[in-house]
Amino acid sequence: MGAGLMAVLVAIPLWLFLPRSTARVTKDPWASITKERMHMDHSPFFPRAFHQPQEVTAACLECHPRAAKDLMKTAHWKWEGEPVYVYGHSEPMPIGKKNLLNNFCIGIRGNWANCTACHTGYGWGDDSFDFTNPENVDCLICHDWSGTYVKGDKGLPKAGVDLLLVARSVGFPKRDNCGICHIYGGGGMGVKHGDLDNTLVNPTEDIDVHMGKHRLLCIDCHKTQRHNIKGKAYSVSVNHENGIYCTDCHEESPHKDRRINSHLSAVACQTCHIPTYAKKAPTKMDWDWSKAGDLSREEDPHHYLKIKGEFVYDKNVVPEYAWFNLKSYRYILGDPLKPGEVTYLNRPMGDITDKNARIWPFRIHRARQPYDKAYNYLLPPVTAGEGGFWSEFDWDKALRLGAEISHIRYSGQYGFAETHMQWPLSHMVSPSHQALQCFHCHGENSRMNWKALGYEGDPEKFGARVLDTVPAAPPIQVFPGKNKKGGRL
Amino acid sequence: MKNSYTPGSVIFFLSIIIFFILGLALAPDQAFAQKPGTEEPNVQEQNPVMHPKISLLDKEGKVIKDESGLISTERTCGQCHDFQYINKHNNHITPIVKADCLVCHFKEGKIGEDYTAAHLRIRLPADENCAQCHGLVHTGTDPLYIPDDYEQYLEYKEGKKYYDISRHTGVILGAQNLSNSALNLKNKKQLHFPWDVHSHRQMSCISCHFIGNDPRFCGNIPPSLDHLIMDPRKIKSPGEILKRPDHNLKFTSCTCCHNPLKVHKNLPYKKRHMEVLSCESCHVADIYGPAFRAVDRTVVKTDGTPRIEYRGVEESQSHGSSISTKYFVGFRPFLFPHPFQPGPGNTNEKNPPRQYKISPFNLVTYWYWISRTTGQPVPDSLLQKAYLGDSPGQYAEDIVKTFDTNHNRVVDSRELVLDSQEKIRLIREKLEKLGAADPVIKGKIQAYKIHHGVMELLHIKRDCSGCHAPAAKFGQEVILADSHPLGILPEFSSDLFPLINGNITQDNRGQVLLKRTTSLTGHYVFGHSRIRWIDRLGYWIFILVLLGILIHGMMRCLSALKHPPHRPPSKKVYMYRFYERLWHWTMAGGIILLALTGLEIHHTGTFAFFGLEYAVAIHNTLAAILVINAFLALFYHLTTGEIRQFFGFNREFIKETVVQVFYYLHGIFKGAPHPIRKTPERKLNPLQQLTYIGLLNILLPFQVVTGILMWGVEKWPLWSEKLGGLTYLAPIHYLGSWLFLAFLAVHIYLTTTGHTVFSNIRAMITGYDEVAEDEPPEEHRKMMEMKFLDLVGTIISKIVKKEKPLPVEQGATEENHE
Repeated sequence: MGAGLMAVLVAIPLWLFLPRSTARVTKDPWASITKERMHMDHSPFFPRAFHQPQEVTAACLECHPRAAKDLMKTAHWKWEGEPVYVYGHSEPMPIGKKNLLNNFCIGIRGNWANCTACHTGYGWGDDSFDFTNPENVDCLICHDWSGTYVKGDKGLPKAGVDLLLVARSVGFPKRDNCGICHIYGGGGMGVKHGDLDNTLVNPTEDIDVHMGKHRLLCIDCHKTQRHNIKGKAYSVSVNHENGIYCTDCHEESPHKDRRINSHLSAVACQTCHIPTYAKKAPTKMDWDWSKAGDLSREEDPHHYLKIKGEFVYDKNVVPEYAWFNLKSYRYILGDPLKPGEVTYLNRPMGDITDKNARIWPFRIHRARQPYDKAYNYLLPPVTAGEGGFWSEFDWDKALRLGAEISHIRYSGQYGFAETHMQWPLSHMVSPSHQALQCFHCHGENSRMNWKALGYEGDPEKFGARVLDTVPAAPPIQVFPGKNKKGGRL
Repeated sequence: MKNSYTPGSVIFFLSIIIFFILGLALAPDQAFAQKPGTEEPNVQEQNPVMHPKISLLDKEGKVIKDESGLISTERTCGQCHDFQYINKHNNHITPIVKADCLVCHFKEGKIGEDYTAAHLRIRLPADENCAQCHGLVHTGTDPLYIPDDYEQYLEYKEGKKYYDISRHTGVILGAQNLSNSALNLKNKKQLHFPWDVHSHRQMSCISCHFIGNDPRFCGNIPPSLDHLIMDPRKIKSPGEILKRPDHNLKFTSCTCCHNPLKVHKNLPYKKRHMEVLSCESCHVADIYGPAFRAVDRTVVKTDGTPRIEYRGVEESQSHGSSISTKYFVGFRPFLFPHPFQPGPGNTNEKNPPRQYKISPFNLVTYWYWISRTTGQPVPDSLLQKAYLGDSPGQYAEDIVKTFDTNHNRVVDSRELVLDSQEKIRLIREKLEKLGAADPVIKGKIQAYKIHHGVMELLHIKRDCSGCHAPAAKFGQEVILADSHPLGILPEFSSDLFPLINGNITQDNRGQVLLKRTTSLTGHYVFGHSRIRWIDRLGYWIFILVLLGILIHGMMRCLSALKHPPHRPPSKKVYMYRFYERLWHWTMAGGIILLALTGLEIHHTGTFAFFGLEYAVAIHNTLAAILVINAFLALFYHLTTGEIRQFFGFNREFIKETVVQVFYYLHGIFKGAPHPIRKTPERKLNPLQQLTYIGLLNILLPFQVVTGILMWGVEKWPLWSEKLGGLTYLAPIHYLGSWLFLAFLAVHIYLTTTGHTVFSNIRAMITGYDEVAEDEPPEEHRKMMEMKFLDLVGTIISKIVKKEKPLPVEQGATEENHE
């Protein structure tokens, strides 16, 4: 008893006065990551060769009966989302790759056979494709581990693909599975996204810290339950429902320095942590369709192709910055445009007065694409399809056919309008020591156009934005203790 | 709060006053939103926003009408600013340097140039302006590299860049991370911190180097009276300051913006550290830039520049001819005590700063030819002629013959040094022929204090053992030069010099070294400073005590075999009450831990158990606990009367002492019983009484007082200084601890002399001891009855003659017991 008393007498002062470490309790980003993924070897399950791809699907569904139906509810199958309100339209409408225009290859309508090589299904060659038939679901495109599965026209596997080998190899989707389509979109490697290209299949830490240093797979962030893959792309969506956030794994204010944390109410994580995109492999920055069709010019996939026109590629590109509140406008087929002015196909919503908006980094793709001079809207040409520009080099015909297929009017007069698409960046996150430093935005060599963002000038000198409403993030006192008299200095 | 005004209210008050000044005077380049190069040059329009539109005048005072007209700063700037006053109060206008308005206040300003009206944009000086002379400055996002003219113009020459900060200290004023630079740095991939943290945090040179009468900077208007913080009457109006800005630039001290007492958590002796060390000592821990180490101007390279050695560069791994490709391993600046001049912000301290502060330095050694008759250095042009002859870019024939010792027809970097009499003679002759009068070689060491290049906090490791260890940073050996002219060792230059404690020697590889003695005069550094003889005295006392115990114990073991111990029948008696045991063991445990942590603090580096930080915290906490424990115990003893046990001296005390000593030295080996029986009324034998009185009333208070004064160096330094300061207190405290340890050894050993070997210790834990029930032996009674001198005689005869003890008689009385 005496010993206990003595121990207490000594221990309590020691505990009070011993130096403490200043480590904070932090959220463990690994908490929600599956570290070991189970893989079941599927080779014993497929004894006989497959002659039709649908046979493979049927075999899969024997053990995974829900899989097809689940997938068919999602955008990977439907190529459109649930009906949403698009700014400028009064009725909610389902939008997606199925019916939207972009400023790359412009639209799939009329070109289905070629475009649906990236569809998670078989046989979508035209408008009459049956989206309710589970037999046509393609399991292999995402689950193939053999590396030999290639799809061609209408999403059917190319001749020479050994379906049995592919079926036996299946497992959870890895980076090259997602990459087969998402890396090669727009007609070439790294053309479209800017922050997705084949350097991400086996990246180094500098290219992407999640995939390079920590060897995360796409599905570690794009978590999937019953084939519902989380994540939204603003090329084909206008909101962030079912989207993913950095704070799914990382904590809200993760920086040791309070001054950096005080940026979080106005600056997105990606802004500082993605200092450049297309780091190693160049991406397409500019696409001039109006120059296409010149049969006398020399071809080069990075400068000029007769079927497509003139391009500009660049790598290690500094993003352009804009306010973004995770919603965007969208140009829908038939929307009016102002000739002579830039048409923004998917302009981000949000501005300096919006408390939900933050400054995001964007990859901007600029193009000149066909539009109707009389009706003043963009025209979707038939390119790969029959009678299309890629076979006949006749704009008028291509546009007429395209207009017919899309059920819009074509006046016969076409021109080329300047369009921009703004893709917010979230991949190619650099390691933290390569993040933007103070002088990248503040100071003489700033990459921010403050006036364009709505500031009077550098907020370091002129102060942060003042919001009328209560801001979403609590105001972080950079110098705590001075607030005793109320209000900041 | 120690001050009556919070820093917050002071700053708030000042900012209201200077609001106008801010608005008018803060005029950075307003081209944020515009891309550079898009403005049209306009004769009449300068910076449109902050500086008002003025007419540009030429030197006759006439308005310049076209772009090619030369601007006269005196006339133009003098329209509003008092040109004469500014030039008189301008530390950038000296006999050597003449920097007028536009050199600093214009984006492309250069010394010595004339300005035309084209592209004139007036602004506050930016880092690039200062970089003309005080480089290297790196703004921008391109990877940093060292420019090609870095080694040229070691003497200031108008119009040429002169990188004094970087050359003398190795600091680069850049915001970029070291890992993103183009230099070849050791472990570059892990160096994710900027060259200079203040540059990175968007500060510029003028954030700290400011106009002499600028009221915004802390303490620049020091109050004349003690009760004032500042005097508003001394603040000039904005117009006055704009008209007559005092260009004798001052510089802030770190404490103008930083409050070190608010941070540095867990740093013991915080204020003391701040008094003794300059901030830069710890906050500029490593320097990776191109600092000069030695400049040998007795020789000349083919491009006309002298031979330069860099500090922190591994030449053996540096390839290529450019400085940027050298392999930089970085170096730690050298700490020296230096007379400290407090900057403007230090006037509010209650305790005036110590005379000397330890600051980081770089030492650069210069060798040069000097004419003994004129006392002037031999000019570079003569040297270049001597070495290169008439053909610049290659050496003269005789130079090659003499210098090329490995006969490869090239004078390489290892040969380009005057390391033989032959070479010296040759050059001397050539110089004399060219007109130098009696040239000799001299070597001089300059020390440059380091103020810039502060590292980012996250990358500074807490390096207590950098100073608190036997091999401390301020005792490290400094390499002055790798190779040097034969026979010439450099001397310290006399002006403004830190206190160097060391000798300049040369090792057998030809390196010139400054071997420092490790004592830091005037300072006592825990873990590093020590007084050798006290250390040795302490060890020896302890060792001898241990030896004595060993011998005594062995003898007892041997004698126990010969004479079986006396074990009379005994009864169990409740000897030690609960509180006595509690305070005894708290004291015991506390003292052991204090000794352990104290030893760790004194011998940091050789003996690590808790780590220095924890050892200090434990030591201080336990010391406080022990003092409280001692006072409570004293209170207990006084109020219960137990103090009698210690201070009860009866008439027979001296005799009893003698008898007790005789017992320990003789009787105990014969199996004799204790001369004085232990009872609850008398627990301590006379020797114990004496020892404990000495321990608890002399040694313990002594140790406590010295300890408190050592701790009090932080809180009430004047008291500690009165008693000699740490230099006296600490060694005494340390010696006291050895005495405590010696006592501890003896004390623990003597507990084995009880009824049984462990009965005393068991008694102190459980409270119950064995007390003999039989009569005290006759012999002792007889001895107690003797007169003192007879007693001494008996004892001596007993020892000398080795008589057997008298047989024990039964039935003796206990008259003389108390």
